[in-house]
Amino acid sequence: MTENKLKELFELYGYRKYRMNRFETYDFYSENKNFLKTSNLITFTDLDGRLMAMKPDITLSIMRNAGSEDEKVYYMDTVYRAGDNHYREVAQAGVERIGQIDDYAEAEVISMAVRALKCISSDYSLRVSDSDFVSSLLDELNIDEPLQKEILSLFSRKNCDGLKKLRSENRISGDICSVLTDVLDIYLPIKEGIEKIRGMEFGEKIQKTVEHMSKVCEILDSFGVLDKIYLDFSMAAGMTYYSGVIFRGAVPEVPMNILSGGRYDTLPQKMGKDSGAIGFALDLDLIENYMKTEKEYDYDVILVYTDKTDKKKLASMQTEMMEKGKTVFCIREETYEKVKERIKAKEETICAK
Amino acid sequence: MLNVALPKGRLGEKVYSMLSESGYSCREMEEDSRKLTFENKERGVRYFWVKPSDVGIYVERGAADVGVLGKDILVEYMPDVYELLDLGIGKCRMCVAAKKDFRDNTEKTLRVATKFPKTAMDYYSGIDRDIDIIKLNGSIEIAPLLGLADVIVDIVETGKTLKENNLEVKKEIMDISARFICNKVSYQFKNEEVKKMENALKQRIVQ
Repeated sequence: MTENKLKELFELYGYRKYRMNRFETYDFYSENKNFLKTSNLITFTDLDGRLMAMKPDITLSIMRNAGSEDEKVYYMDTVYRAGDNHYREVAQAGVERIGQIDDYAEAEVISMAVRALKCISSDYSLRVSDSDFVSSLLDELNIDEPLQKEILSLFSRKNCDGLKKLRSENRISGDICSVLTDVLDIYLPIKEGIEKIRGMEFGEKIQKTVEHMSKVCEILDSFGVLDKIYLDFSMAAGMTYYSGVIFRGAVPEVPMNILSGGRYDTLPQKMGKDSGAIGFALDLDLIENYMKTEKEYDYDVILVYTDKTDKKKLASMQTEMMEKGKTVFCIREETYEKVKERIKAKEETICAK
Repeated sequence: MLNVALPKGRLGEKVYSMLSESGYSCREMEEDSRKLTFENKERGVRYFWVKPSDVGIYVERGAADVGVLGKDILVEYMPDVYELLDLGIGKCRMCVAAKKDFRDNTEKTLRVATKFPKTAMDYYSGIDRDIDIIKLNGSIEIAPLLGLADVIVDIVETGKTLKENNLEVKKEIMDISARFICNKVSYQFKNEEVKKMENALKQRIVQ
C-alpha cells in the first residue's frame, strides 16, 4: 500500500501525523484567498449560523494552527476542489515544515519528496525551479508587469516560438529573446543546469539564488537522491503562493504530475509568524487510478455450504483457513450459483458437505 | 515508442508527410486500411487519427505523447500541455465578422454566434463588451443572415465564404497556425525521442 509506505517514510524523517477538522469558517479562506489555487468552495451554514467551508486546502489549516518553532507534520486527508464543472473529493498525502528553513532543511524536504516518488514507482523524475530566479530575471531585463505575465504564460507551455513572436512584434529585444529562450530551453540534470546558468553571467541577485541552489544541490548529493532531479524553469509561472524553490514530481505510469511542492514563506509571514515554510503534497487518487494493477482474483478461498452442511465443522474449517492468513468468502450454495460468474478464488472453491 | 495524435483531415495529412519525409514514415498509413493505429516499430512511432478538437485531450491525458493541433483549438480548450513548435502550416485568422452594413449598437448586448465560446468571451471581456454567446457547431455564417446573431467569431482562411454570403471581417483577433504539442510527463520520460521529433519537424518548417 502506497499510503503505508509514505507514512513510514514521513515518520522516518521525524514528522508527526496531523489531523484536522473537515471544515473551516468561510472567512478564513476569504482572508487568505491569494494562497488558494481555487476560489470555488463548498459552503454551508453551521447550526450556530456561521458560514463554513469544506476545506479546499490543508496547508492553510496547518499553518494557522501550528506553532512557529520547528514544526514537522504530515497528513493524509481529503480536500474538496472544483474540476470539470463538479466538486471532487481529492485524497492527498503531504508534509509541511514550518520554522527556520536553511539550506539543509530545504534539501531534507526535497530528498523526502524524491523518496516519496520512489515509494510509488521505480522510475521517477523531480523537476526543480526557483520562482525568485525567474522573477529576478524578468526584473533584471526591465520587463514591465503585463508583459511579464505574458512571458510567464509562454514559459509554462515551453513556447519558444511565442517568444520569437514577441521579438518579431518588437515587444522584446533580440538579446532579451535569446536569454529567455536559453533559460526556457533548460531541461537538464540539476548539476549541469546550474553550471549552465552560472555561465550566463546574470546580475547579483540572480547569482545569489544560483549559489543557494548550488548549495542545496550539494546536500542533496549527500542524501543520495540527486540523479533524477532536473532543472526546469517552465513551471515558475504565476505562482503567488511560492517564494523560492518549486518542485514537481512525476512517474512514467501517470500522465500528470503527482507531487507538487515548494517554499512558501509569505504565508506564515502574512499570518504574523516569524518563520519560513516548505512542503509538498501527493495526489493519492491520481496515483491509485493509474498505478492499480488489475486484481486476478477476489478471495483466496470460496467456501460454499448448504442446509445439510455441519455448521460446527464449517466454522472450524473457516477459522483454520483464516488463521493461515487466507481470505475466505463464505456463501450459501443457492446464492453462489447466482454470483459465481462474478467472483473468483485464487486457490480453490470448496464445497462443504 | 512515441504515440502521436494527428488531427483527421488536411492538416493531419500535411503533418504526416512532414514527418514521413523526416524518416517517421509508416507504410500501413499510406495503404487503404480500416485500422485505427499505425506503427513503425523501427522508428519507434505509433500514429492515430483523432477528431481535431480531441487532440489536446489525448495529449493532456497521456494517451498520446505528442500531437498536432491548431492554435484555435489550443486557445479554446487550454489543455495543460507544452506547446513546443509553431509548424507554420494551416495558417488562418480568428476573426469577428458581420454583415457588411453592420454597425455595433453599444446600448444593446451583442449577440455572438461561434464555435469558440471561450475565445469569444475572452476577447469581448478584454474590451469590456457585454455579449450573449450563441454556441453553434457549424455553418456559423448563416447566423447573422437569419438574424440569430449580430456578429460571428470564427476562423477565416481565404474569406471566400464570407464574401459569398455578404459578410466581411470586422476585426482580427489572432493568427492561427498548427502547433506541435507534448504531454508534460512524456516530455520528461521520453525526452530524447520528443526532442528528436521536434528537431526533425523544425527542419521541415518553411519560414
